[in-house]
Amino acid sequence: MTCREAREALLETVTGRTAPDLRRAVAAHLEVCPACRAEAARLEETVALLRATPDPAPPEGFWPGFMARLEERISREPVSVWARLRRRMSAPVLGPAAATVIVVLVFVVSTLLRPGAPPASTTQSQVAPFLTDSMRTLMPSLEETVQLWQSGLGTVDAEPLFETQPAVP
Amino acid sequence: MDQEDAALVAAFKRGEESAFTALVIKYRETVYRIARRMVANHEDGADVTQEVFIRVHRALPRFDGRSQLRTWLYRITVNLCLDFQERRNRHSWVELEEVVQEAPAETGPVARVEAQAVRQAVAQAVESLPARQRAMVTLRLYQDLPYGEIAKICGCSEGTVKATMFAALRKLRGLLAEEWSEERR
Ligand SMILES: [Zn+2]
Repeated sequence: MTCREAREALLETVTGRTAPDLRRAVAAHLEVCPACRAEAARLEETVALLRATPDPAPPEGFWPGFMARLEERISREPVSVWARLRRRMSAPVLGPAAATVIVVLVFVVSTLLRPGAPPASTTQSQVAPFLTDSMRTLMPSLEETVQLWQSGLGTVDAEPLFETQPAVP
Repeated sequence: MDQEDAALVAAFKRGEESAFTALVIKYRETVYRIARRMVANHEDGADVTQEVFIRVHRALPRFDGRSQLRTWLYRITVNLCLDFQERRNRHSWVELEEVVQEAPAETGPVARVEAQAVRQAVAQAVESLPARQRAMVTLRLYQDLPYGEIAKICGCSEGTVKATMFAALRKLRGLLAEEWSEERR
């Protein structure tokens, strides 16, 4: 082992755990090389001093409230809806195809709901070009869903989806 | 990737928010310790720690698992500390008073005074290192990370990390030796 190799190895042996054969090789070099031996001693002393400082710890009571403060901050993060939707849709079973379905659905419905959009009777023909086979396999009820959305959201005199709660006397 | 981490990341991507909570609880103390060795005081360390996990929450959906989650997390931590330090350059590093206060009570007044003197000298010496050197010293000496991982965290080669560590340790030794000889005079 050369002095150069020994100094590099010292960085390993002095500051961390080392494989026994490297440790032995360094020890053998130090035995015959006073210069590296002195260097090793100085490094060891320095590292020991540095490691003598305790791990910094926060004041008591800091961790118990940490998660709540973090969640509060995260809840104020912008554009969380899309991020969350994308994350939900990237589950291994469904994958990006499902995300595409949702994007297309949103696009289709919003297109049909624009002022001056054609009446609901043409829904099937309008949606059809957007539906691929993989989307049909993934969500067999896709066309029905689109129709349902159409009738629920698109027509002015549609039945409300939920009964409004009667006022408490 | 660490199997537990991989499972937590996958669960988070499925929309299980509790997986994020588990990740935070697993790593928050280490993140705080690294940050705290790199910024001036508890408040700054707490700010950095919170910011780290906000960034993690934001970026985790795109985390592809090619590196260890731990490496990625520490990289975010170190980068935030370096940014933080740059913005607060007028401010000194670690507040010495705090370091001394954090010291656990030693037996006997002489031992206590000596231990405090050592800690103060060490804190002062580490404080004088450039920020990136301080990051490497922190990751190696206090987190026991391999040089290869430190290289990934700091975005440089392993050779650079080793050369920097060597220079940092030599500088620290010089500073501490100076301190000691002054004290003994
Ligand atoms: Zn030698």
